[in-house]
Amino acid sequence: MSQVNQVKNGARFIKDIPHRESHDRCLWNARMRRDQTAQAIPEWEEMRDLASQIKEHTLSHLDHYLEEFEKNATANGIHIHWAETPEEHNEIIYQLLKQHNVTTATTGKSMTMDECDLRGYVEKRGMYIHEADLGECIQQLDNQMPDHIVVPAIHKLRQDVATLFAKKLGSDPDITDPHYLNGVMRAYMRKKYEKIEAGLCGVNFAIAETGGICVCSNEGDVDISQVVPPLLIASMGIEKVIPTLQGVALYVRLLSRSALGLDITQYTTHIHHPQPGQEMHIVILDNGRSKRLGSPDYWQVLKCIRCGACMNTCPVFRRTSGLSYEAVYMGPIGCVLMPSYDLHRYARLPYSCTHCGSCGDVCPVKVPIPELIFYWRGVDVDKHQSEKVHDAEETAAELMLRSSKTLAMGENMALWGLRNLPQWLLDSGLNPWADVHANPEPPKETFREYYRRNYKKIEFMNKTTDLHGFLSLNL
Amino acid sequence: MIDTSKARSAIFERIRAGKPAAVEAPTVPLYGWPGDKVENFIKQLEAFDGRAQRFDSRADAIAWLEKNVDWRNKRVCSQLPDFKGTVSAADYPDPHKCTDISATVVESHLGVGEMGSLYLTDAELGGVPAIALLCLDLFVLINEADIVDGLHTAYAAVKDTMREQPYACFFSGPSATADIEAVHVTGAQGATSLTALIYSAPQPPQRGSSHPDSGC
Repeated sequence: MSQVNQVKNGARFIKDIPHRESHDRCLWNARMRRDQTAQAIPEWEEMRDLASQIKEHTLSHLDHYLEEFEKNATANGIHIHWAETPEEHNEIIYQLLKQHNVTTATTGKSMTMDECDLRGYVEKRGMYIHEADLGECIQQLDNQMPDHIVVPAIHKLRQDVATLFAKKLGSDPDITDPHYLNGVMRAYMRKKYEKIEAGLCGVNFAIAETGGICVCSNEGDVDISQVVPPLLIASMGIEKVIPTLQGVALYVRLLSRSALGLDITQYTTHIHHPQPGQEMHIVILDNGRSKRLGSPDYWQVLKCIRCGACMNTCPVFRRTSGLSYEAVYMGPIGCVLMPSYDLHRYARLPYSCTHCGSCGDVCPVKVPIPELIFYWRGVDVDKHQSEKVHDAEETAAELMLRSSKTLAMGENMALWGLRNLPQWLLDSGLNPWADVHANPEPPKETFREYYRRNYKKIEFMNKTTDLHGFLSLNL
Repeated sequence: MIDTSKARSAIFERIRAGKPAAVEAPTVPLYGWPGDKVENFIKQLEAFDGRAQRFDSRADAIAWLEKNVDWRNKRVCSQLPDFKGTVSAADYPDPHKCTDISATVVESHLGVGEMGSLYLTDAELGGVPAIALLCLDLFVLINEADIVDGLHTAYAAVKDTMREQPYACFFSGPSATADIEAVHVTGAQGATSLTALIYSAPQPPQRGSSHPDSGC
């Protein structure tokens, strides 16, 4: 697969001003609401520490807690399956659907199923799974990946949805009120619910001590998919397990507040057994997670609880859209997670970052995203996976920064270039910086020259200070 | 069913070989939530577009229901011993059929002031959770003594009993979505309204055995 060029994809979205402004505004509002709710809770920062520690504790005893979860869930009458790869995950679910002769299945938003492209897999085999979450359904009907893990269609304007629903669901293309569009969706899904034979869902937290799962959602579609049909299949990554039910309280208090600045989701649901007459299965997916766990450098990405706070706060994400990452996990967490899925394909993502550090500040479980961005850039450079021009720049920088002398040469060359090269060359593709910036007026001298010229004067003024020692370094 | 034991051993083998050095489990304090529990509950429930009505007695709450539930050619599903609907959960051996319910009336034994949440399980929903999901209007009675301060207290109250329930959910307002331009729309796919009927009782009522701690 070709390498994702987020910069190029994002540039297209930036030029689309109405969509970009709406995306930016909606997500920044969520971030501001997050701050408001978080600041009203005195123990908020303490909770983030605890949530991080519980995840670290669980991950460092993951075999133990997975075994405990499996034992208790099995005792509760739930069938547990293990999948090393997306193919195995999809095949397990496909076979279950086939054995039950399922023709209508609905799914409440599952990231793991998206990660495995379950829908695509079963569609190729003649089966259709209906996304029941409004945002996911919009994206499914539009044959597009989600833009955001919490609000999948937030990059669309209401007109886009009205046009799409008119085409696919026969609604009025001129009515763009979200209340009306939600009504169209509700009526469409109600017809499915009358006859669903299987429901699928994701898992926010799997509770080891009780063998149950907790799912947090707003629309009711997840719960309907869970309790109405005779077959329920949940899908989760191995890192979703937490030790105790009491621990769920801490994560639920953090999750929706971090995601959208709301105190809780409308439905905080726990399933511990199948309903009478129902069959329930949980597929536990690895897909590289156990390998990630074994990396001393980036195992902490597994702490992520998929709240999306890092996306809402990211100045790059908000203005370039989630689709520009061409990844299941987008935004800051995507930049540090996707390269571990496919280094070549996602090697450029860690460069889509301004180093503001905001993602690290809002993460409810303290995934060190800013540090991991640097880690992955290092890996890209070492393995020559990033853009060719980056590679050349990095090689040149390494040479230039080797000594004070070579750096001085570089500075002089840059000044000479600014003064003497023709404008068309300075603004050409060799200098992508000039795409959106004007080149500066060439200064009279380099900073180093300026510094030397004023050196004597400063030395005199600071004779007795520490600065003296610093200034007398051989520059 | 596909045998996945081979995948299981491979996954466990990699976890055991690579898991990070043991990190100790922290102790999580039972954080409370300041302020008046019932007032917080009402404020938060309303913030989630839920409605709250307060009554001096359970009888008053029931009388209010008689008057305010929409009876016109509608199916009213009640799980209360002292309020008779037109149907009950027992009439729905097939939960798919619950789409014809207009109003569902149930009682919760645990409310959460911090979020305005109402805890409902199969026990309160007559073993058919769909009655609270596929109905249009959801009415939930709650004794004000059953409202606790915060979510930690709520989980502590149910930690020994939740496991017995196939379905257990904190309902916080009616279903909602903000998926189109972040415009908040109440009434997504679950119930389109949720009304809490909070009553005070001179004496704590007998509680079901599945909720021994729910009043704490």
